[in-house]
Amino acid sequence: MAGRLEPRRREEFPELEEEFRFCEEFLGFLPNDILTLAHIPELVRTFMAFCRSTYEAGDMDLGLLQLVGTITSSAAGCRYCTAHMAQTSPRFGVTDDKVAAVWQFETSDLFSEAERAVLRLAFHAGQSPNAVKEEDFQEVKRHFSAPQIVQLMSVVCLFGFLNRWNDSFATELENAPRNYAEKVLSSEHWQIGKHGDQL
Amino acid sequence: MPRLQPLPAASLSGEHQAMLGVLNELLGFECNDWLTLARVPPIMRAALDLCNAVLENSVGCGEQLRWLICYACSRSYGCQYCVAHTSFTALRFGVPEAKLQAIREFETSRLYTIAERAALRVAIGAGKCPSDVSDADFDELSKHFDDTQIVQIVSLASMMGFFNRWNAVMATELEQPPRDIGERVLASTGWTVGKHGRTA
Repeated sequence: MAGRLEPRRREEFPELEEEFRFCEEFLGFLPNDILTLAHIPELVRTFMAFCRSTYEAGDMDLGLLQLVGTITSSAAGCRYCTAHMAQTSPRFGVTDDKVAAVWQFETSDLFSEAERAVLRLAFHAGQSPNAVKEEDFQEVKRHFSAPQIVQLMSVVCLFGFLNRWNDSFATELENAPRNYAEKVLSSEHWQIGKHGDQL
Repeated sequence: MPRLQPLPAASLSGEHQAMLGVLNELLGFECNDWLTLARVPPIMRAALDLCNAVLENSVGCGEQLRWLICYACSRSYGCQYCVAHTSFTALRFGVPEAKLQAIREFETSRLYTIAERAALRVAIGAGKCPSDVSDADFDELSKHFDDTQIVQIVSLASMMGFFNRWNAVMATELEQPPRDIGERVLASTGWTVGKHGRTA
């Protein structure tokens, strides 16, 4: 069984093709988590609309937002989401070296001060209990406007949804993000864990 | 102090006021988290639509159980703003105060049914980072709920994953009506307003 609840099949929901295609364009494949949501089709429609609004309703750099998804998911302990967002980052112009270095955002010279401020917030926000400090926010505010911070936090919290969903269902990781994560990410930072093939 | 100030409700467009109006009518107060999301209206609108879909009544988990799930996973994660809000709403839907107060003994308290215990066990595990839900928890859940209902249970916990993270990180200021509930009803469960208290 692929995870703790069998994903549905795409062919069952011709009315959701638009949402499925958006997913494929974004990720490069149709993921198991969305097909598990499809047990309640209205959840796919509203969830995808929510994802699109967080990425589209603002002017934050989309490559940086993929790294935000990667690091906040890693901090929360969801390896499924970590692999997904690592794999998606190059689709938005981030180099593989930068994806692999995201755990060293504080010290790697691949990151600007503004990027560090964003990734620090995302990394601390993914932890439980939440580890965001007042100075983390002050630093983000030096570089970004209030609407940009709302967009950033919406992406961080979108992964609050997805991390819980995928880590609880132990969603089976698809081949493309698995291959990417195994090739690019250090095993110190990422292992497939419970999202591997199940008998 | 909240990390970002909520917008004054009066500054929202009529359309956006109407969208939040449904929520205000249900709760009887204006929510600071929604008024902060309102800084980017398309995100606020999409989040509202998603919440409505997650809470859909016809899936059959039961109104009271839905709010107990939101309450239990917020406690497990540790967002006191969300704990107060979900308690406030649970009371609105008829959950007895004593049941909210017995949450720490849900495994043994007679106020909770066997099915509710199965759902809350998953909600509480889902609230942890990393998630602490086991195969056995899911096996037990599937004895009491069908696949669609299981998706609703986990999506409720996941929706709260959005709000738990949002409000804990934003240090959203807790409004007076849910704060009163927290102080009057939940004090015996260890609830305190913490960083969500009003700042002068």
